[in-house]
Amino acid sequence: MSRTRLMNTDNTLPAGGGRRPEATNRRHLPLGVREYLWQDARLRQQLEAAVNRAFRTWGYNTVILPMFEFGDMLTTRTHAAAHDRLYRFLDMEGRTLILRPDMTAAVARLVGTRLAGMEGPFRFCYAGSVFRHEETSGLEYQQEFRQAGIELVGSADAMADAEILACMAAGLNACNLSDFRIVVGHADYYGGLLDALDPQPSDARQLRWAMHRKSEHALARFVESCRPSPGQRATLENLLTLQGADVSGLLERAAGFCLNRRMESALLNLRKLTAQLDAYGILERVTLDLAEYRNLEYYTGMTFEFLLPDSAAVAGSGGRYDGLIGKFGRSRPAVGGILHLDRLVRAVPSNQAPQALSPKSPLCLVGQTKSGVALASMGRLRQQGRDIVVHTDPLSESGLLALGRSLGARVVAAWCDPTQSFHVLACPLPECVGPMDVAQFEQLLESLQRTELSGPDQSTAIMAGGDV
Amino acid sequence: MSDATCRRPLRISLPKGRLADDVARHLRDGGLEVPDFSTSRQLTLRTADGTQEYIQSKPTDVPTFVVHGGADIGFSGLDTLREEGVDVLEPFTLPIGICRISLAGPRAWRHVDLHLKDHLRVATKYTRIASDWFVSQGINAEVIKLNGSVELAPLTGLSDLIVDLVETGRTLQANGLVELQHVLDSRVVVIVNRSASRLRENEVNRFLACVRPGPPGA
Repeated sequence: MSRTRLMNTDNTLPAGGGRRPEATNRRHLPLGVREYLWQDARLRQQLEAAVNRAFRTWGYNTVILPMFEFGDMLTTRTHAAAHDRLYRFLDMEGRTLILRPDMTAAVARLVGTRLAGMEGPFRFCYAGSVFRHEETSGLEYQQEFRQAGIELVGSADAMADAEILACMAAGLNACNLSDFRIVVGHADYYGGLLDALDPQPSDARQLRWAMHRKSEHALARFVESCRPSPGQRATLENLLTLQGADVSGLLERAAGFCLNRRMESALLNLRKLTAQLDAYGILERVTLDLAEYRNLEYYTGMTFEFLLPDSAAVAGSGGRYDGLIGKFGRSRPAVGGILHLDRLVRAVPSNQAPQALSPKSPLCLVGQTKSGVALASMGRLRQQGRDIVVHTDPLSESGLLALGRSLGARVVAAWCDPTQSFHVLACPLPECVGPMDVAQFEQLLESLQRTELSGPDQSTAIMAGGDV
Repeated sequence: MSDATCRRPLRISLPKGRLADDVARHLRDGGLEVPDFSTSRQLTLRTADGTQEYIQSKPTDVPTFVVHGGADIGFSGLDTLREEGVDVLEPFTLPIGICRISLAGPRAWRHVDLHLKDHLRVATKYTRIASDWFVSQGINAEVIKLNGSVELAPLTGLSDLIVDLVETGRTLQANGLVELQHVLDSRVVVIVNRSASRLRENEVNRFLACVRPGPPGA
């Protein structure tokens, strides 16, 4: 993967690595961050708004969290995976700060401390960027992730787990991305297996690898070195087959391989969860995977991932983390999840066409004017949702028409100070071209459809619900 | 039901070159219809029933196609997979393409304790595998990337040792080199895109069932 984008057309210059003139990074982005232009920017904003609107209708309250916090906030144990990927810097007193690698820890800190005196349950939703040095797994290199997420704090019941899944499904539905799959696992099934086997650390690593890669070969090597009892061996040999969309059949089969209470309680929990998902009407979207390995220091129950068709990266993920809030204060059970907004942008079908980006066309372009009457008229129109660009530099009529054409403005007009009226230069209704007083002008623009609904903005399908 | 939502046939990535014939034979033995790329200039070929599409690429690109979802299933050497380091599922290996990656060098190095060398230079095509292995062994080594004819490196003084693929050992011998240490056993491994394993569960499982080797000795 090339880590430098070659902006220079002189291809005799090295693309990277070599010694180059100073300030070569001035025109480049660091790898793993993105900028969004025009339709894409609008689309991401709309997806974020649509997801949050859906979350709020389930009673989730918006919370706005700080971009950075003290480095002590995250412990190595709970954030083992993220710990060596943090963006760290120092404050004036030399204390370590971190750019937030996720939002959940911040919510947990807030609930554990400031809300310790209040009875729950609490429902929170949020949207924002999180930052991690992401080692490339070959799939993609990303360092700034835009997330929208929810946390339900104060309930240990499987009903809460189901609500999180159903609510996130509602978020995707609100983006017209209803063709998702949910992969559900459980930390206690794998955790119970580890309790029963009590392997050496290096063997445990081997087992995790086998589960992560679904590798029969690696699992066989683990079985060879940890010498399990016959019952344990049967569980291990069937472990990688305990996944699929036949949820009830799988749960029944998995019951035969339980080695202790912890594994049994995982299945009991999953039975309650899947029954509730059935009631929510999303069970058919669920794939169960009992051989899914997750960070056990963090997740304490159900875990999940959302997948979208033809997309290799997960669209969302989360799970139950009953141990986290207690690290900050009063302990409470909690479950939550996030959607990756950057990945949703790419998954929107209309966004996959090979179409160049362009700025949104305004409804109307008006030539430079200092008139309070004209500006007040346009103010009224804007309140009605009509978008109007006032050119800020002097321009001839023909120049204004040319600019209007290049912007895609449907109406082009100039303000005429002596007559205190607009002069319409171009309009879809030819009979309207010519001088027009303020009231007539406002009537004309109000009669024209919002460009939002007819213009080239391809993301309008998501805008069904109004404001951003 | 999950499979109904997918818009294209199951796509399978095959390696060109050394492994191509063995892999194709293995698939045909499993009752699969594998198009013959040697008689076509096309890079993608579909089966007659249109349920599978095969693509052929450089072996090192097979893991890349699979991890990004350009192909759902791929056949790769374990050496290539580890070198590319991509995050895919690897349900099982096949008893073909068997070879090993070894540390090799001039005969005089046989009794040298590599931990006691301050500045070891090693040439290889497999920089990731070599670096990871030296770290795991606690040996300090500078790894130099070469794209072929790695045996030249010790002969020309470019490096002290090499890490390279060994099948019979004859190439090493012809250049006055000997195997010093075993780094990795390689064979063909079936790899599956993570998402495809969920989104096209039935298709993937049907295909894997045809490819899965029988128990040893069966």
